[in-house]
Amino acid sequence: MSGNEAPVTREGVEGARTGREATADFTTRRKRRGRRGETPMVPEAEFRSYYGQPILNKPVWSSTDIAGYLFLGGLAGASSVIGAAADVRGEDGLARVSKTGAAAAATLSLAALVHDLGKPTRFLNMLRVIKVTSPMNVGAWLLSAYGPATVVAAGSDLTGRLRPLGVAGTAGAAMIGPAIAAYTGALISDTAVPAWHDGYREMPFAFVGSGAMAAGGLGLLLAPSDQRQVPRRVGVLGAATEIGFLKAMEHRLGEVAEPYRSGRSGRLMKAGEGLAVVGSATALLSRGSSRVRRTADAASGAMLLAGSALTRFGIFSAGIASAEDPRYTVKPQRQRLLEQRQAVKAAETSSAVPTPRVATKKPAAANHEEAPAPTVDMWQQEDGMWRWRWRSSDASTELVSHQAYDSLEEAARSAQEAYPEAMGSGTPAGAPEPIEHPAVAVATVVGAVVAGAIRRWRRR
Amino acid sequence: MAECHPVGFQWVMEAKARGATVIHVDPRFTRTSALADLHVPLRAGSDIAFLGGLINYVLQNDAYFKEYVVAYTNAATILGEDYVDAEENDGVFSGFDPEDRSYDFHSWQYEGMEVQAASGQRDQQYQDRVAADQKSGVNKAGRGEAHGSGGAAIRGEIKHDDTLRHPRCVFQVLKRHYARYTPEMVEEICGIPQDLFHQVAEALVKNSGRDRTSAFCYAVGWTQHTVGVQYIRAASILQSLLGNIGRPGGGILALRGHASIQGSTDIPTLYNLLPGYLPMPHAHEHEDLDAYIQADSTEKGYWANSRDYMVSLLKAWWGPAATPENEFCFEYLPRLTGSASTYDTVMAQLAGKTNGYFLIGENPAVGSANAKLQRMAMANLDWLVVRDFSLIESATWWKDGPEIETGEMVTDDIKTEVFFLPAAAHTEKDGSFTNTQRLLQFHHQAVEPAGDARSDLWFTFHLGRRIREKLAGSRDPRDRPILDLTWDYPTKGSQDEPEAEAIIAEISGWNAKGEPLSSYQELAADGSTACGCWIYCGVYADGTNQAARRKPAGEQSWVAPEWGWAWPANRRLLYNRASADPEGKPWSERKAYVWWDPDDGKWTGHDVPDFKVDKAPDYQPPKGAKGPEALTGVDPFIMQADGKAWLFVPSGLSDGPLPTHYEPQESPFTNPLYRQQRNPARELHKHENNRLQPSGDEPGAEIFPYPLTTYRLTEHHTAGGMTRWVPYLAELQPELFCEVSPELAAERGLEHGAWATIVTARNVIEARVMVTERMAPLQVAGRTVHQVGLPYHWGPNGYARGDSPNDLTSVALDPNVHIQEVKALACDIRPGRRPRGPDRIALVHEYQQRAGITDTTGTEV
Amino acid sequence: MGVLRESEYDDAPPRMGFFTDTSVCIGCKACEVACKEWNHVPEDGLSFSGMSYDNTRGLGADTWRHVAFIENRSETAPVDLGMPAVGLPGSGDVRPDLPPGGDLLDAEGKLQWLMASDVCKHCTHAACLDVCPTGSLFRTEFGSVVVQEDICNGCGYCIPACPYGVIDQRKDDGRAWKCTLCYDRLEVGMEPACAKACPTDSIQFGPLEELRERAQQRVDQLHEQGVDVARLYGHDPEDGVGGDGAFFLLLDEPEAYGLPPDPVVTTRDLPAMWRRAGLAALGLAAGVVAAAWGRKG
Repeated sequence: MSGNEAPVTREGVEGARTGREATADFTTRRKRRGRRGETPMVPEAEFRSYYGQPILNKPVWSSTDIAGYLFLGGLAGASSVIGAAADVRGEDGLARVSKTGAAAAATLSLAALVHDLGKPTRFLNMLRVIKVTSPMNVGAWLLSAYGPATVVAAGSDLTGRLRPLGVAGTAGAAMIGPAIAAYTGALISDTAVPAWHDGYREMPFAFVGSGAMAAGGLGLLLAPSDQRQVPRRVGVLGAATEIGFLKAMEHRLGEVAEPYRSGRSGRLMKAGEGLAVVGSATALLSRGSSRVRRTADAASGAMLLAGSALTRFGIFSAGIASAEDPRYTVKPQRQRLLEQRQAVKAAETSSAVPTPRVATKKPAAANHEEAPAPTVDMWQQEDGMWRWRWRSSDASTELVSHQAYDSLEEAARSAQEAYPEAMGSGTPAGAPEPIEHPAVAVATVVGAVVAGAIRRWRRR
Repeated sequence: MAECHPVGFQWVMEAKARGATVIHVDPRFTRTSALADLHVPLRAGSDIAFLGGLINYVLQNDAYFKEYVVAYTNAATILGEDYVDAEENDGVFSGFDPEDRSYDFHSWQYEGMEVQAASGQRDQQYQDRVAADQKSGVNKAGRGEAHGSGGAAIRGEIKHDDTLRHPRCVFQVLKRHYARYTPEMVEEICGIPQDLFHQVAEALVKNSGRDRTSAFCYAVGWTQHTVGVQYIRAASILQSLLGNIGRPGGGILALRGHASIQGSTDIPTLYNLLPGYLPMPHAHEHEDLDAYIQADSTEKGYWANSRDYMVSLLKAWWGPAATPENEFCFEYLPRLTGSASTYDTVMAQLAGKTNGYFLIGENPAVGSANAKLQRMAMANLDWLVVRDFSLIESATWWKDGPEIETGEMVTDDIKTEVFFLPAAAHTEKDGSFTNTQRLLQFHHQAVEPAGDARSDLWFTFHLGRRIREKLAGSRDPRDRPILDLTWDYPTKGSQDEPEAEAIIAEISGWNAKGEPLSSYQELAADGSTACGCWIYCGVYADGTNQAARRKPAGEQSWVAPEWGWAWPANRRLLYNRASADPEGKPWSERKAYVWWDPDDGKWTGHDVPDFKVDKAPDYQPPKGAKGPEALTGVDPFIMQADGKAWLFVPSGLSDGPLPTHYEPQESPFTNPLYRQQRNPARELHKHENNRLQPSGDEPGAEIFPYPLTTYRLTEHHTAGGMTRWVPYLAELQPELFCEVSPELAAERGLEHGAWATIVTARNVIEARVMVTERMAPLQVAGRTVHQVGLPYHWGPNGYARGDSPNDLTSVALDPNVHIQEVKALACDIRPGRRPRGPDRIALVHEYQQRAGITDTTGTEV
Repeated sequence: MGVLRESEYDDAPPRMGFFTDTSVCIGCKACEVACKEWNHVPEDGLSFSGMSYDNTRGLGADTWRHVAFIENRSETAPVDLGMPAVGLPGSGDVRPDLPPGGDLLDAEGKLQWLMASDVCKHCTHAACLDVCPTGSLFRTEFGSVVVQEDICNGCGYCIPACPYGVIDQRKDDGRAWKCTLCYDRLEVGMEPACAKACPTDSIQFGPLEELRERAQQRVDQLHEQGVDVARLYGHDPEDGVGGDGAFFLLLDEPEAYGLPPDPVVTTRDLPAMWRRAGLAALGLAAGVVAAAWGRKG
């Protein structure tokens, strides 16, 4: 291959120009450094980069595979729940549609995942460990349990055989379904991709909303006319949830959310949102003769399905775009450093903590009358976020938490990690026990499904 | 240095950490500048004006090292009356003959004497010495780069004035010669602002003297000019005035372009030298050994023993066949009938006078000046042998060279038979490298060469062996020199690789009993000793390979005498007698190196004294003493006929006794110092493919307004034969590019990353554009000048490809060593790619016409 | 909150790492070549970038060492950046009687050419390692983070997880590749190839604790010389990734070198993500149940 034939790479020409911009405002800063002389002073809000090169390596996933995987996972997960609910309500048509749809979607999503890996056997590599720090690993396990469950549920429903097994499958699928629909939110948030990671607070809710919307859409599209009430409600509710959380996310992310509004990803998002709105409206306003209603419902169902899919593709490509532009990596981090410095300054100026809402964890040592030990304070900032500050025993040194947390508990947990001795042992009171929620959820779903099953036996 | 010698540069960094100030003088801001304390950009080709300015600064401010200068240089020596300095003759010294552009050096001599050169044109005096009756037929032949070991002859008694006041003493002549090299003039010629110049001058002076020394490092940026030798001479004058020669931390270091380039002049690949800088005999009628020695040897200094060296060499080569009766086969040596330098050879090829050519580790189709001329010349050969790692451009020009594309060559019409023989790399063979400070370091084979690849040693030995087999039994006297050679080296391994150690042993030499010699003082002229290179004598002392010693630094003194072996006599610092004052005491404790121990009555110190070890500082030679004995106790430069460092060179140079600023062959500027624009003695070769451009205010000069300089990058090596075929290196600098300032880019509409076309009177090439502030515009002669930087590694073959910048350069040479001027020329640059096919030539012709270039342009004296 | 797997090795050696002192880097790229030679990393592209002398562009699957070149014009010139004196033939220490180098440097707007050799940071809290679903990425006894290529399934999750853009996918085999800190060399007591090849000791290899001390001394020394721009990067155990196993002395803002100014290991927020995912799942279930409540329409 000849160098001569190679065209000037885009990075080359453009990059060099950005490089010049980047290096133009080089300044040496005369001000003395802090105790650890290396920390740079608070930077003016400038953006510099290395010839405009991305800082991150963007995801190598193919959008059809992974964005499709996100969509199908949501569709399947929510459909499984609807399927179970339909059993409870004795709406066999809806149950069949939802269970079959769930099975099909689950199988397809597995296929997409495997296709992205290259070799089917590579999927098994993920089952050699159990790793909660890897959403993809957790997902692999969920999927290996969920996939078969949906197939059993659908199979039994279609063939009418092995009903007890079918019930178990339906129940299992309905229990794992919500997790399948929600975990993908954590999956993409658990990366350094700014548009994904920074949105981790809303992403799972938007995803279940999107999943519900799609599942509802499927029901509206295929379920018998007298069994479309549940999908109608679920679809519209889902659409509202998706749009609501995405809007909240975009608002919170500020500049980092640009890819959700502009470019190819922006267009996908808009289209998805449009379809969701129109689809929901059509679903709600569907009136008139049965033929008219059938058409309207089918149309709305298709729109909700498509809307969900487009949104997933939009979110996916927004992530790629935000990884490709160093601006989205550098600016928020610069901002964070700025806030951190200001927080330090604030802490330095006022020896007391700025806001009244303060939780101070007294070190264990302080309970007995002994030499003062280091302390950790926590306080809430104007923006409602929480920070902690470690103060050395002689109060000579103060270190302010590296980032802000959205709850007192998270701040406390992080401080606990950094300075266990100052925090004493154990997590601070009031920290939610996340494990309970799934338990409750599981109990509810199991209860509902079993109740449904019993009612059906009675009818015979 | 960081750019081209990154591994050596680590010691510059060490020095920096110890407080050294590093100043980098270069037209471009390079990786070296990035780490230097001060970068001094200057116009390419203006260095003598800069160095002359420093010399003038030192003289005007009495900043020279007085005791050193008076005692150890020829500053006090008085010149003859008929010497006329360039200063009084508008840039031309006395003795110049415009007809054949050469100098008669006689008027440069010391008063009332005749001095033979340490080096250079040592044949200049053959006429006077031996054959006054013969007409000067070969005066210009065999101008050699016989520097290195030094050596000078003097007949008569030196007159000097130690007060340095005599109007004709070297010191006063020097002062007058450089009086006009003022900071203002330096600024006008080099574009160096006066305050910057003063920073350098003050730093240099502050760091020289009894307690401090400064070192100069240079590379081909200084040598590849029509005045290349005079660049180095200028540095020598400055360093001698500052007392920075023969002392630790001082000196002038030539950073070589290849490993063992030093070795290739010590045991030369040069046509006009024999090993150890013994000159190659010329084709004078009836020149016998006596006449040769008589012409070349000296009365004082170590060259007086040159018969010992020569006879021992002849014994090493022809062993038993070499006897006193047959003058030790002196007659077997080839005789020079003229210059056989690279470019003379190329011209001879073009003229169809040369039919065969060996290229061993050389890629002239990319690496030599006017590469097109090189290819054209090779197309005139009957046969061509290329030994290299891969199919370099010099091996494939006949099928895919640029002239094939332009139609100037047609493969079917080329008669040259080309042989390609794959060569082994240094990791695949034993051998030694001789580096710039004369240090021999032996390296051992790591792996056997793959496939047909063989070492140069293998090739030379087996070629000789086969030729001798063919000639075996021949009665033809012309075959005797080959048949009588001692060609009996032991071989080893599956490939019959000759033992490199056996060869280094022969180079080191042995006596009649076959015992290894330990010093060149043991050499004799009676044929009882054999030595392949007298200056290397002792590298195999005690029968052990001294060059292979690798004792860690921690386990020996800071001079590290047991790491490798340095010629001569494992001496790490030449002329180190100068590190002590005339009484033999160190100039200062900080700079103590070698000193006289009055109690033991001998020289001692950290290094091997470069002096007769028991010769007291107050030694005065008896009347009529000869050779080393004739030098006094205060003559440190023992290879020189007068034992002094030469500020002024009475003989040995082809282009004047003192460095003088001349503009490059091609320059957008006129010489503000003299009416003489260029070096009057420069060597030119007229050829339709070697057209030269007008300069200064000559009409047409404005067509080529930009000074251009060529150079190397860290990522590649010279013509690329060792790097452009290595993917890991090729990807680091994949394409030819030119470096231009943002201002020039704006002026010519060049876009960063896009293409530029660069034109000279020879050819046109294209390159990627690198717009960078590292190429700073300079203010020269009251106008802004933009320089174009061009790394020259590329050619059409290999992974990393591009046009060859040497297609642009001309064959205009330094008259002393015939080196090409490729570090300073003039060009035009325009946006876009160059034309293809015949249009490429058309564009060059168009430029030639616009500039009114004829076969005589630029050739005026 | 990042997950540091405490070394699971008994009597593990001290944690090893790199200190790259860019103030003495001469941009020779010997590290890039030595790395590729030793680790058989393929050549990856022969195109002219126009990014000063950097045609490598950045770290990736086929570039484990990358030398950045930045052309700067500084308002005040950085003073002498001589290396810390290390063992030299002869007397060891810096001679106090010598003048400080760089006393010439008062030129305003001096052109600067910064060079810096980048490499995998071998984070204390390594996102790539945390998110790897197969356990292919693991922490060695030296504290470095290494990919086991026979286990990597090419899921590519580690690639967007890395806050520095280090690890990447090799197109032809789909698996992820990055610097191994020359694990094979370390195991036999050799230093990594890049550090071995570095002529000016810009790349220093050793026990992390030791390197951190040395780095602090170096940066203090530079500050005394007035090089206020000198700052350490990635050395702080309290930063977003719990400190890097390979940290740097920089002469400009990190982003000018293509480094994130304040990287955070993404898994620091994973517990929060899981909690939200749990709540979302519950919400879905509850939502459907709510929707299915009551009589049929």
